[in-house]
Amino acid sequence: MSANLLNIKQLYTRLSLEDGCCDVVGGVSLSLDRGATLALVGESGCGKTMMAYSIMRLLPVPLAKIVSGSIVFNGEDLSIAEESRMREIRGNCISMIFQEPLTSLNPVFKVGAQIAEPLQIHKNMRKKEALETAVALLRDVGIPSPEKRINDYPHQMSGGMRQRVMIAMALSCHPDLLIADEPTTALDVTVQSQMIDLLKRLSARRNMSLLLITHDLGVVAEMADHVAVMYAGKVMEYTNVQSLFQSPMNPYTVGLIESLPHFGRNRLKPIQGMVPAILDFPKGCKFNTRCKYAFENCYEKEPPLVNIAGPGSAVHMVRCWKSAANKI
Amino acid sequence: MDKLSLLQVENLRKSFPVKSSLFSLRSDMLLALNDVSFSVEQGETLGLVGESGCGKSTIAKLIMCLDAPDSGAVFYRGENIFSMNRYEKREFRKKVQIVFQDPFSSLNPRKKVSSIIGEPLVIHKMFPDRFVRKKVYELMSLVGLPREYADRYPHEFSSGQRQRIGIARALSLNPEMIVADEPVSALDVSIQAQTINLFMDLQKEMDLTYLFISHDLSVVRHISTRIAVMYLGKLIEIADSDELFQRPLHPYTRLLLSSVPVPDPMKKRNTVLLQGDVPSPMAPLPGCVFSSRCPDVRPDICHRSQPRLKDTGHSHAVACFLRA
Repeated sequence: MSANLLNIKQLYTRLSLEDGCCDVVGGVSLSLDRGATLALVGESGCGKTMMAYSIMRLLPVPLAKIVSGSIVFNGEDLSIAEESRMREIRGNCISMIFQEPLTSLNPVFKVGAQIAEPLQIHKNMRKKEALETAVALLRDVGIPSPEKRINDYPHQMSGGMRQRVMIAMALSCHPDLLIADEPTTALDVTVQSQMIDLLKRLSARRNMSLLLITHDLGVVAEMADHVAVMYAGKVMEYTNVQSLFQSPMNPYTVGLIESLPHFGRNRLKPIQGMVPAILDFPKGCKFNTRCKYAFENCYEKEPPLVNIAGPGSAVHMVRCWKSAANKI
Repeated sequence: MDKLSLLQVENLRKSFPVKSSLFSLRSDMLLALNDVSFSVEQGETLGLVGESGCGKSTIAKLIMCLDAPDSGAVFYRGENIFSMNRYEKREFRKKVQIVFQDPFSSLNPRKKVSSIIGEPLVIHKMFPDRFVRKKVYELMSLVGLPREYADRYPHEFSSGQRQRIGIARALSLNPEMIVADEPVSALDVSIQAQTINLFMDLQKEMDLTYLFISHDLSVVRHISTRIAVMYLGKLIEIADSDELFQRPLHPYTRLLLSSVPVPDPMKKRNTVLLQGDVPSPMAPLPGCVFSSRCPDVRPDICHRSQPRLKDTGHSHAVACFLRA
C-alpha cells in the first residue's frame, strides 16, 4: 500500500451559468498521504467546498462539472469513475461530514438507523448487527449511554451530539479518507475543542486521512499537517502548517493572518476589498484587485504555483509574482 | 458611585414554557435567565460571552424591550423600561438600537436599501420625507456603502455589505447605545475585521455605547472594555477585558478561554477538556449551575446553593464559592 492516498492533478471544475462560465476550481493539484491531515483554507467563494464535492462527485451536474484533470484515490481516477462505482466509494472509502449537523441528518429517522445504513449497504450487515455496531460507534465518538441514544431523533440532540452522530456515520465503514467541511463552525467553542480532539484521535487510531475544509486558522493550527490556501479557485500557497504560520509568503495568506483579532485595541488590518464575483475574476493574478503589492506583471499574467523552498527544505509552494522574486 | 449607569440590569428572570410533547397540555419551563444583574457605563463596550443556551440573546431582547421579564428591571438613564408609557417607550427606542447576527434574515428582502435604512426615520417622523433620502445617503457614507447602491435590494449585496446596511439602519435615529447580537459571526475573517474596525470607528465618531454579544472570544477581547461571562442563565464572571483574559477566576471562564484554538501551531493548548454538553436549562439542579461539569467542584459546597456574584477587587467580580 503506497503512502500516498489521494493525488489531485490540475483539476478544473466549471460552473455554467446563464451569463457565462467560470472555473470555480481552476487547476488545483493536491496530494494527501495516508493518516495525514490537509487543511483547505479560504473564505467564502474560494472553491474549497467545490473541491470537496468534486472529489466526492457530488457536483450538481450539469450546472457544475469536472472538465479536466484527475483525482487519483488509491490508484483509481475518481473523476472518470462510473456513478455506480462512486456509490460504492461514498460512505465506504471516502466519507464526508458537513457544517450543519441538524440539516445534514435525516429528521424523520432515528439516529441509530442512520448510522446503521452505510453498514447495511456497504458491509451487507443485517439490521441487528448494524445497530449493535452503531452503539459501539457512538461510544467511540464519546456519546454517553449510546444504547439509549440510538433511539433518539436528531432534533432531540444538541449540536455537539449531532456532530458526533455524523462522525459516527461517516466512520462506520472505516473510510481511508474523511472530508470534513467546516466541522466546527456551527459549534460552541468548548464543544469545538472536544470535536478537534475527537477527530485527531480517530484519525490517529484508524490511520485515516483527513481533508479539513475551514476558514478558521485556529483550527488549522491545531489539526493540520499541511495547508493549502485557496482563493478564487486557485491554490495560492501550500506548505506544512509550521511554515505557513511562521513564514507566510502569499499576500493573501499574510492578509488572512493579519486580519485575525489579536490583543490590543488598535484597528485590525483587514484585506481591503472583497472576493471577486464568480463571473468577474480579473485577468492575471486573481488577487490583484486587493493586493497591496500588485505591480504590472500581476495584471497581465497569472503567476504559476512554484516551490520557493531551498533544496533540502520542506516544500513551500507559492503563487505570486512578487514572492517568486523575493521574500515579502 | 454617584454617577448613574447608562444601562442598569437588575435581577432579571425569564422563563419560557416548552411543550414536553406535541400533544401534551402541560408545559415545562425553560429558565433562560436566572437573576442577572449588571450595568453598562456610557462610552464603554461591554462584551457578553457565553455558549448556546446561556441566555445572551434573551438578555438582548429584554434590554430592547422586545419581551418582558418574569421579574426584575432594566433601567435606562434611571427609568425602568418595562414601566414606560407609550411616549416614553418611543423615545427609548430612539436611544437604544440593535444590530442582528444574520445579515440575510434581518433585512426585508422586498425593500430597497434606502427604504430599509430610512424606515426608522419615517416611523419616528424625524424629518420631512424629502430630507430622508439625504439622511440615508449620509448614513450609507458613514458605513462605507456607495450611495449609488441606495436603490438596490438586499440580495444584491454581499453579507459584509448587508451587515453594514443593518448598522446604518441602527444608526439612523442617532442612538446612544447599540446592542450588537453576534454582529460579525456570520462573516468571513477579513470582512469581520473590516466590520469590527467600522464598529470601533463609529463608536469614537458618534460617542456610542455598545453591548457586544458574541461567542467569539478573540473578537470580544479586541473590542470590549469589560467582559461579562454567562452560563446557563447566570452571570458568572465580569471584569475588565485584559483582567479577565489574564486572570480568569471562574472555572468555566478558564475552560472557555483555554478552548479557543490559537492560530499558532507552536502553541499547544493546555486544555482540560470539558466533558459532555451543556446541560438542559429545564429543571436546573440546586446549587451552582456549573457544578455538574466543574473540574474543581466540591460537592459539599457547590451542590448546596448558588454562589452570588462577589467583587474580588480590580473591578473583577465572580460567582464561585471557591474563588471569592
